[in-house]
Amino acid sequence: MRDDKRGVGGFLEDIPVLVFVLAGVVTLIGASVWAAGMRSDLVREVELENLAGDLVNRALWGLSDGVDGHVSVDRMAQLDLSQLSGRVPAGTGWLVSVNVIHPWTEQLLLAQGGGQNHVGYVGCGCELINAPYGTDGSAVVKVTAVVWCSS
Amino acid sequence: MDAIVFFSVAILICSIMLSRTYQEYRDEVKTPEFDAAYDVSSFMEVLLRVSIGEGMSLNVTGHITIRPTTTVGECLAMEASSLLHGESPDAFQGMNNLILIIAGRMAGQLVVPHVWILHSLNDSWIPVVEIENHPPAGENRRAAWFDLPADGADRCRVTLVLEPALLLESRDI
Repeated sequence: MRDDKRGVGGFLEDIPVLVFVLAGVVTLIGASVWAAGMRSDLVREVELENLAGDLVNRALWGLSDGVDGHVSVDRMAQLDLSQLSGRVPAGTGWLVSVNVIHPWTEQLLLAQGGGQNHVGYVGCGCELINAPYGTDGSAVVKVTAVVWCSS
Repeated sequence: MDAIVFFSVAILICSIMLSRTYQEYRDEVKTPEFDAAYDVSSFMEVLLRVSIGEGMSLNVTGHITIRPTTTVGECLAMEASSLLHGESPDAFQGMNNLILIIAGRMAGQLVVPHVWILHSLNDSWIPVVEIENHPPAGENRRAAWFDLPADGADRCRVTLVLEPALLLESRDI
């Protein structure tokens, strides 16, 4: 009987250590899962940011006059940006907008596609350029791209 | 005892790694709009080349007339030259407000722009024009400058400063 009592006592003495070990294991596993998930989110968002920047650059290329500047505001309004859809992976929503923001405000172009999927991750990019208007005026045009996907 | 020591060290290392990961995440995610969208040099280049958009007459010696197609860069150069020749800054208040509005439209809601004109005097730069929304806070600012064409011995430099706007975090909305 004496030996059994010592055995039970030894087990009870080990319980705090066991709890501490289990807590440590749970903490390590939980931290690993959390860090991996956060890293995955970050990589996904950076990919979308890069895609949005690429769309902006492609749109700027379309707005260029081929020399050193950009086409006039009037000509910009007649361009078509729908060919940008070829740069976007399937399942990814996208929108490219070209707006005059000074001396007046006006939306010149809007192109979008990619469906109505749930928005999980978003990337965006924008660029400001000068575009001639009238005889010797210079406007500010803002090119904005937004891309999104569900996962 | 061995297990306690081992897991204490493991939890400590894990906490440090998590802290660094979270800090990196915050740096990457919280400021992409400011980092990606606003290259200060190109922002300034666009600002100096844009037409001011409104005609106005300035009540200074010689009565200067600004055309709507006059660029912001030309306006700032003219203002710097006039001030260095003794004109009152009050005559340019309306024009400065318009330039601030233009810069604000370009910057959007995430960024606050400030435009200064500095004058070179005895190897130091003295501000002669300060177009700003409020005194800059001094954190995370970015700047670019452009030397105006020299007016005789006077050298002037336009400096643009962009700083993040003080917005409430709305990421989880």
